[in-house]
Amino acid sequence: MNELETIENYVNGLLSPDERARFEAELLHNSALAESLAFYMMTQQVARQQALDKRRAELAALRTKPASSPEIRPLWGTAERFRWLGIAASVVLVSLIGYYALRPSTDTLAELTTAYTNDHFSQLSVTMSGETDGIQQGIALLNEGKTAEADSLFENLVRTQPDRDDVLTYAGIAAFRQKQYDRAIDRFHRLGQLPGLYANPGLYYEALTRLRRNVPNDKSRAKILLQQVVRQNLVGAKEAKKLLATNTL
Amino acid sequence: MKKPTDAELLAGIRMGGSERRSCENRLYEKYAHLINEGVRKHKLSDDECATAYSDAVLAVFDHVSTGRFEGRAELGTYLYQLFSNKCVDAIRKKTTNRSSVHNAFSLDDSLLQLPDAARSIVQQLIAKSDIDRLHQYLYELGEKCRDMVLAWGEGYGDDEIAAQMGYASAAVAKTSRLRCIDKLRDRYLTRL
Repeated sequence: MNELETIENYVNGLLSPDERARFEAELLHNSALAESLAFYMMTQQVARQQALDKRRAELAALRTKPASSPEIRPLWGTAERFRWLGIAASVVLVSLIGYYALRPSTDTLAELTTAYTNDHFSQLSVTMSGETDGIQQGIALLNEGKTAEADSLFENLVRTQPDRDDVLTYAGIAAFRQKQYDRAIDRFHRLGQLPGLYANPGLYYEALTRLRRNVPNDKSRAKILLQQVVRQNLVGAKEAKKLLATNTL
Repeated sequence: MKKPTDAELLAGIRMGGSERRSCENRLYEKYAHLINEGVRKHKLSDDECATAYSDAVLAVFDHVSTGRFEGRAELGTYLYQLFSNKCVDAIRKKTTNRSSVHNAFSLDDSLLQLPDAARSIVQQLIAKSDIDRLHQYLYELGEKCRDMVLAWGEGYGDDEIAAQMGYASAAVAKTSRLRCIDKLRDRYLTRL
């Protein structure tokens, strides 16, 4: 890995905690590295400014282009043909949007997500946590495949004990298995916000659920969460790194 | 041709790649009538309103593609709000002559993620840098390299850059992009 790549991985939160700590320590006494980092960040900002200036000019040209200008006439045919081509392009676009929204989970990202949730959300250890009968009963129901009953039970527990990490964890898992992704995201999000936990999987689970739900914004939000998990070395950091490395986020 | 719905435009922008660019242009055209409204309401010139509108639209593109726009408001309402704010900014700029403040070079967001000691070092280095020269060298970098670096600056991923510029994979595009930045750095450092 060359220096610029290391810098980019640092800025994007893709270094492991050890690598990150080493990088930051070196930054303090290696002036050449500090200069390279400063250059990288300046270049990104300058590139952004130039890109925005270029886009402004392109957008202004859209407005000033007269409706009957020769530039918008197709060089290869009539306006009627152009209209049909436009319609065809729209159909392709809508089909692509539909495909991406509804496509089966066969890419690497989906495979990794599915593999993890199959491993961790299917058969739950009764010794994982939970000292109350309610939680143990809910876990047993989940392990027996009675997800609707487990979901209902954990939702009742969430109402009475909304700040318990194990309750939020299992409530999220039950909702996930019921394909109630909105609710699962809410439970995992609340779990991720709980302070003072030694090991908190909330952010990672929320990211996985967003990848599974996959509505607009979910991928970008999941990416931010996964980067945070890696940066802070939270539960799921190793798996998060793999997901980020798929280049499909 | 039928006007695209907001949902179609948002989906296209979020899809990235060439669809993003096409849907961005169509979004710009769909709400361009706001410029005339701004002229009437804010008593700004047509050019000033067009600039405010472009800035508002560019902010919307950014918010949509980065997930900051979550769809809680209608797209038109969201854009209108941003556009109104940009118009108010333009009025302030005119009345207080503070354009230099608005154009200030800012790296605040990127720098925030650095630990305090490192941030201070990097900030000092940036303060001593010649940003105008860097702008100039980026202009002169060569078309392909510049397009690639600008696409990166605009937030396109290496997979999208690869697809649009004909590279075999995201990894190849990334290697080429980093080489371009390296080339820019060599040029910048040798002329300092």
